[in-house]
Amino acid sequence: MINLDRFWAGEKGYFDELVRTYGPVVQSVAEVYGRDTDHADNLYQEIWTRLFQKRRHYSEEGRFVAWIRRVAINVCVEDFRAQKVRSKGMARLEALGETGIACGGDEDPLAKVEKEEKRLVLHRAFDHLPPRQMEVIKKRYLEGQNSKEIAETMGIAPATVRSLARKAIARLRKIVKGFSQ
Amino acid sequence: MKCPDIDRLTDFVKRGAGRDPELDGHLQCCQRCQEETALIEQLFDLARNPVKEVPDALNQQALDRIQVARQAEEPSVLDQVPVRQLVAAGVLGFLTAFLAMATSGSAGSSGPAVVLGFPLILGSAAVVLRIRASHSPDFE
Repeated sequence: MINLDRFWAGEKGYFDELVRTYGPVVQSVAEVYGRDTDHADNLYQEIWTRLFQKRRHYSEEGRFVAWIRRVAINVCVEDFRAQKVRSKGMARLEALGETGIACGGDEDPLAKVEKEEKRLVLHRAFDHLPPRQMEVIKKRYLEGQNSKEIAETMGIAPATVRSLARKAIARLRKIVKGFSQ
Repeated sequence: MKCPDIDRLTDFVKRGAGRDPELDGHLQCCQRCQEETALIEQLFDLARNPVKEVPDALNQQALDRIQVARQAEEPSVLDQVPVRQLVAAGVLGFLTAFLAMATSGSAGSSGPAVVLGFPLILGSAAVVLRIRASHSPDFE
C-alpha cells in the first residue's frame, strides 16, 4: 500500500524505498522502448524524475503500478517525439498505437510490461507471507521440490507441507487480487 | 468432486490440461481452484523468469535526479513571505518615504518622483511575482 502523505510530500526516504520496490516495473518499460542500454538507462532516470514531479496527480483510486506504467509510457512517447528518430523504440511505440502510426512488430510491448508487472507483484507478495509458508512456496514452486522432499528438509510431515502451501497460495491469491483491483 | 489438494493442483499445472478429466471438470465450476491454478502457473513462470532487480548504481542515478527535482521545487525566499505582509510592507514604505519628503520640504524637486517611484515599482513587482507563484500549478 502506498502511503499517500509521504508520497505526496516527496519524502526522500520514501522515494528511496519506492525506487527499489518498483524499479523493475519502470525498467521493463524503459527496456522495451529504449534503443540501447544507455538510452534505456536514461529513460529509467527520466521516468523516475517525472514520477516525482507528477506525484500529486496520483490518487488512491487507481492502481499504483498502473499509474507508474502510464507515466512511464508517456515519458517514452515524449522522448520519441522529441528525438524524431526512427528506431527500435519507435517501432515498439507504433505497435502500441501510442504514436498514432499503423501497428507493426512481432511482440506486444504492453503485454510484456504487464507480464513483468504481474511477476513483480507476486515476487513482492512473498514478503507478506509468514516465514514457514514462504519457505514452502519457494521450495515447492521456485526450486521444484515435491512435498516429501520439503517435509524432510524442514523436518515436518508432508501433510503439514501441503497445508502450509495451501494457506500460502490462498494468501498470495488474496494479495495479488487486492493489488489488481 | 471436492477441491483437490495442492499437490494434485500443482501436478495439473505441470502436466497441462487434459490429463486429469475429473479435475478439468471441477475447475470449470470452482472459481477458487481456477484462481489457485492461475497463481500456481504464475509461480512457475516466476521460477522460469525471475524478477530482474535494477542495479544499485542505476537506482542511485535515478535518486540523484529526483533530488535535483526536489531542490527545484523548494520555494524561494520571496515565496515564503505571505502576500499580505508584502503589501503591508510596500504601503508602509511608501507612506514613510512620502512623509519623510513632505516634512523635509523637498516634495517639489525632481528627486521625490524617483525616491517614491522606485520602491513602489519594486514592491509592486515583488507582490505580482509572489501572487503568480502562489497561483501557478504545483508541478508539470
